[in-house]
Amino acid sequence: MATIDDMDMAVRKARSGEGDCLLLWILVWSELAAFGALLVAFLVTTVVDAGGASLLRSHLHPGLAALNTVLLVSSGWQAALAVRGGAGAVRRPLMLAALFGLAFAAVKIAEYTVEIRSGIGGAGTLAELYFLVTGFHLLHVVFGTGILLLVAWRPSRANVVMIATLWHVIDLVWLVMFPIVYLT
Amino acid sequence: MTRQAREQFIATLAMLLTLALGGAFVGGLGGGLLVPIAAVLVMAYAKGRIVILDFLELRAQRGVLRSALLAWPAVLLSLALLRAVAVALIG
Repeated sequence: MATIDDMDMAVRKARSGEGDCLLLWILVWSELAAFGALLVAFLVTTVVDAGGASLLRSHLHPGLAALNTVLLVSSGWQAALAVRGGAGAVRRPLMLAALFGLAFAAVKIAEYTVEIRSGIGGAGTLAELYFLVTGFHLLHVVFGTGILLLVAWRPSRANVVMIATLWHVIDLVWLVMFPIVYLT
Repeated sequence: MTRQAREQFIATLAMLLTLALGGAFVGGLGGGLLVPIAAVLVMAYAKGRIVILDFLELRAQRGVLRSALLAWPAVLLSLALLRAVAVALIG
C-alpha cells in the first residue's frame, strides 16, 4: 500500500520530469524491440528463401535509400540543434527537421511506386516483410514529422527533448535497417 | 551553443554524411562479397554510435541505458554479418 512518503516522492518525480523521462524511454525501447523483431524476421527469411532475397534485391533502389539516409541524418542533426539551441533558436531547426522528414517520406513513396511497377511482389513473403518493415518505419517518420511541426508551433523544453529523442531513435532504426535491407 | 561546440557539431554531421555515402558506395560496388559487406556493417554501426553518443547526448554518461542502446545496433548488425558469412561459406 502506498504511503504518504511514496506519494510525495511520485509528485516530486513528476514535477522534476523524471516520470516523463521514464515513459519516454519505455516508448523508445518498445519501438526498438518491435523494429528489432521485424529486422530479425527479415534476416531469417532471407536465409530461408535465398531465391526470393535475390529477386527482392533486384527490385530495390539502394541509391534512393542512400539519399533517404542523408535526408534523415540531416533531419536528426537539426533536431539535435533544436535541443542545444536557446529558447529563441528552436522553431527553425524543428521546422527544418520536419521538412527533411517530409522529403524522406516523398522519396520513399516514389521508391515504392517504382518498385511496385517493376513487380517486386514476385519476391513473395520477403516483399511483404520489406513493405512491413520499411512501411512501419515510414509511418513513424510521417507521424514524427507531424509532432515536430506541432512542437515547433508551441515549443516547450520538455516537448523539444521528447520529440528529438524519438526522432533520433527513428533515425537510428533507419541506419541499421538500411544495410540489412538494401546492402547485405 | 558556443562557436567551438557548433563547429564540432558540424564536424559530426560531416562524419555522418561521409559514412552514409561511403557505406552506400561500398555496398553498391561490393557485389555481394564478404569484405565489402563487413565494411558496410561496420560503417552502419559507426553511424548509429554517433547518433547515440552525440545526438542523444549520452557520450559523457555511463550506465545501462547507454550500453543497451549501443548494444541494439551491434546485435542486429552482427546477425547480418553472421548471415553474410553463412551465405559465403555455404554458398
